[in-house]
Amino acid sequence: MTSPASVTIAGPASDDFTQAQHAAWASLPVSLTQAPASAGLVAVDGRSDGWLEALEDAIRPGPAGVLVVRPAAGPSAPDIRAVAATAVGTGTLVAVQATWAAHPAVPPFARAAAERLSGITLIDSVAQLDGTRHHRWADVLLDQLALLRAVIGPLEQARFAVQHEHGYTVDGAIGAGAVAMSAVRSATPPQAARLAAYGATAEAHLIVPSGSTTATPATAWFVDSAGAAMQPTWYETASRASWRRLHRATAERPGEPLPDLTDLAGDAELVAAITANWQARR
Amino acid sequence: MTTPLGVGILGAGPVTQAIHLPTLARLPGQFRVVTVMDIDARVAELVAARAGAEPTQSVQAVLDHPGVDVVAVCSPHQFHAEQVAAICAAGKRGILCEKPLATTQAEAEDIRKAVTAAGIPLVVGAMHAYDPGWLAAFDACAGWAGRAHTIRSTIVLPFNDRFEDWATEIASRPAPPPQGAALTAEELAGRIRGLVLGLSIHDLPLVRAFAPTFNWVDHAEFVTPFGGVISLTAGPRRVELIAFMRPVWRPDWRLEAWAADASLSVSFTPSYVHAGPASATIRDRHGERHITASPYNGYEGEWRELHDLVSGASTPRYPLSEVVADLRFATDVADQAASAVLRGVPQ
Repeated sequence: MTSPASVTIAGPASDDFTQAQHAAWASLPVSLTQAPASAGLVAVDGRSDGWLEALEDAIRPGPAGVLVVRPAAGPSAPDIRAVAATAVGTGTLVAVQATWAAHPAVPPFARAAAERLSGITLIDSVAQLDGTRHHRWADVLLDQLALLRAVIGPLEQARFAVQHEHGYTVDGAIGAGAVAMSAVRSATPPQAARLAAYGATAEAHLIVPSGSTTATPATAWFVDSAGAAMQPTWYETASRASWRRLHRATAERPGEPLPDLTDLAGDAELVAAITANWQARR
Repeated sequence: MTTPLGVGILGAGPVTQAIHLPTLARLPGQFRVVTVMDIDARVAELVAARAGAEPTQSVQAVLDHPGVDVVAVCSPHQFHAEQVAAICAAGKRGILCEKPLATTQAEAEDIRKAVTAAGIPLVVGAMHAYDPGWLAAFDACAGWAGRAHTIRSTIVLPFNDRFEDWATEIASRPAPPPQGAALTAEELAGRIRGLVLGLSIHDLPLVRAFAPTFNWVDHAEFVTPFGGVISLTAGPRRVELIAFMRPVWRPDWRLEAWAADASLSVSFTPSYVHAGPASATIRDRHGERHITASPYNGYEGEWRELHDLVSGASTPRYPLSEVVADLRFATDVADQAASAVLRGVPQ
């Protein structure tokens, strides 16, 4: 058992964000305790303006860890890498809670997919978004790329990209595998991201619910010549899972950087390249 | 009680064996198979015997047969246009032509002229267009179909032999295309054209129910062993076509459409197996509805339609102009996708 860590929020934060963090902390009363001053673990609202500056400010005092929740697209890859370097300097671990990639079902799904799939030739992913809310497509794409990276690996080529009022399409590749990614907006459920990876003799399917505060499980299954097998369900929110992950990392591997900010920088680079292309297209 | 219509069949490959003969066997009051033609005498004999029909190697023998009222064109794609025109000229009462109706727009125009002049019904074997599950689902979403902004056709299937063998005992099947060798750009372009006209085409008439025309193919990519990803701009709409055949057993055949305030997901059973109808879910401000339909599949729907048209019991669900427009849409997608592959990506 690890020792309890003190937690707080740094920088600007929405009411929804604050409420979500308090709910997650309340569900981990042995591991986390609120301590507004000198907290060991700090939360940064990634959907607030200037979140990267807020992150850098939070890192500077040298807390054990910082969780960036749902970082929005915008900051450049070099700027994100610079902040990552600052975190290395202070010995602060930075975890990123992306909308879908942070779901607790994703890491075991990714491990199982890596074991079971070879020769992937097609990856198909659709993000279905709440049509009653405004979405910045760059933010959604950043989240979808994070899911793709978490499950299969980073997108290596973007060959076609288009956005429209109700969504976008990005076609690209990872190695020899074609990647088809879409986002669609509709007032109808389910609000979720789905991803299917087709290998030579097996395939993997994942549906991750949207929303970091719902404990709705992801649906994940694998198909091979023996049949189809469901992955066990995790009734845990992405928020709670992210706090547990950061707490464990700071307790067990203090000072050993997590790959999250470096990965985020890679995806931010892709988003910048793709959105520049689609904006020029029409 | 009416006399069953006599059926002549051109081409006795797996489609005839696994799809049409089992379907016609379920409709004994409406149809009776009279003759089966194949260029391979042995196949013609084997398949004709299954239906108690006469075998022949001659197209003309089918056209001249006095007992043949309607003809099913199940020959290779490149013969469809010529054979449909010949059936029209022979004075037959109706045609069921397997998809694609033709492989070029010039052929489609020839067919339009011949069928119009003959004044006989023509049904194209796009089975999902006659699937009662699809028809009920589309009726239920007709109010918002014009507002759909994204249409996605996903056809992920194992190779055909898996399902052919569950529908019948196949007498013969064509050799599969060679696998493994590196393909030239021209071969890739040919494969993706074949993919559109052989696989994606199943649901293109359904896509057209939401997006009647398209502006251009934005991106097309061939996927090994046999598949592709094609993106279209259709006015304000996006159309995504995913079609993929691979050795894994699980089929996933879906058509999805999203509007700002509603969405549709239709799930189809695989080709060859007689397991329809499709199931569908519609979501809108009223909640979620699951569509149930009459318990027959699209193959049977095609033949029921042909019977009703020949007997004068109904008017065409899909007028000839729409059938030709479906083909134009498909050949345009196929040609542009092939060009996109040839040009290489990104465009």
